[in-house]
Amino acid sequence: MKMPLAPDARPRLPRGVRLRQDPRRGWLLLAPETVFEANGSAAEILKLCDGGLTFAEMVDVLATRHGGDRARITGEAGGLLTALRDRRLLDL
Amino acid sequence: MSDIAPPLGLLAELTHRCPLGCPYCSNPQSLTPKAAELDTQAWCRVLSEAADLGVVHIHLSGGEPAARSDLVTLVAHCTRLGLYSNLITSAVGLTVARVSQLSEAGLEHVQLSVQAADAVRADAIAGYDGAFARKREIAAHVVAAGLPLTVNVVLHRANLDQVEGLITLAVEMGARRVELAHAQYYGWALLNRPLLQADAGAARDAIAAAEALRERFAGIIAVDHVLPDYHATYPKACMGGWGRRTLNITPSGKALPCHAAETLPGLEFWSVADHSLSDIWHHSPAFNAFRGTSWMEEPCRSCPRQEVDFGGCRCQAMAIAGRPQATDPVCRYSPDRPKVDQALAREVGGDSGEYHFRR
Repeated sequence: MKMPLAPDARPRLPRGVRLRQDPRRGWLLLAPETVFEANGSAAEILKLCDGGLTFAEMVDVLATRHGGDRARITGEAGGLLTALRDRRLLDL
Repeated sequence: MSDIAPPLGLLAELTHRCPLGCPYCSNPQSLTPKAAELDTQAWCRVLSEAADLGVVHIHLSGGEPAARSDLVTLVAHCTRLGLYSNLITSAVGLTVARVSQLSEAGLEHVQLSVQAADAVRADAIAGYDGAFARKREIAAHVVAAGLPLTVNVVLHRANLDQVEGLITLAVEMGARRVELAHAQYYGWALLNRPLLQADAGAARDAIAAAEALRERFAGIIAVDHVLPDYHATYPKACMGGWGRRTLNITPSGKALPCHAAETLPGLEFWSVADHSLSDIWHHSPAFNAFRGTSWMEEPCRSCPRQEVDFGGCRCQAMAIAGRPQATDPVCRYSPDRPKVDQALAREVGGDSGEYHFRR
């Protein structure tokens, strides 16, 4: 059972998980013994994961920056971040 | 050859020296002596060339990489280059002070091997008294230093019943991830296959346990599970495809498309002493031998899975079918699949002889 992300959670990438812009491949999320390609919107979400913002604030920032529906952004960002949390690649 | 994508990862086999004697060791049956190992300067050059080539992950491995006195220097070099450094260690040979130095040098992740869920079994498999206790002590310091920890376990007949205990142990050790990898039979492990091979029922039970526990432990620890390929229907995509994602550098500097590639006859391996890494990746005969799909024979040649598993493992094709270009004999469509089934039938009910310990 996947728990959704609480609005006041403060997502941050832990040590050993980092976003890197690769000259050949675009944004990559480097993690223990794996690499994820972070497409445009995933990279925008992950760049905000430094523990400074709550999840609700992240959604506000993304909605303001890119326009779009708050519910859709909540669903998309929430899906990415809970998947990372469940694999211990994101701390809250 | 400019359409060859750059490698993501490089496995740096810093040394073949290792204090443990694990029977499933996948290093070659003949090891490189210390005197033939690349020196610090050569490794730093290889790491710099790797970064230029597009590598992002460096896996510092062995043998036991802690046997190298320059380990901290090599990690610091990775950090300067922006390379993600991963230490693959048995923990035996590491000290608390060294863990702190590695952390300060910018090490990003530690993968620590554990042989079983309890000390008696673990030390018996490693052939080293006290190894289990030492691993727990070092793991505690890795976690205290703030480094993310993965516990790696090779599963085989003597520990296959411990899947839940192993995951629980990894949680207790503070790991964020546990990798359960069923033994694969290359190098030294091939000598011990009759004692390592598990029967299909035990393998199925272990697989089911791991899959169920992955769900239950979501958010607590990530459970990665490498399936036992003798019991599989299709082969693994070995190395994610030959010359496609990663390369290995042996202790003496030979560049290999995979760990066991030297068991394949007729391949020409280039050394980092003679060629740049870019030259090796793009032009060396060994890397081009099984790249892509044009080398494939039937049944791979017309198979819709050819870019899913890339024909499986070349070294397994050699070891079992006797020809490196054959379809991996694990595949249900391979004409050599009966040889895998015969080996299983012969070995799984086998007696409990003595391991050939790696010494």
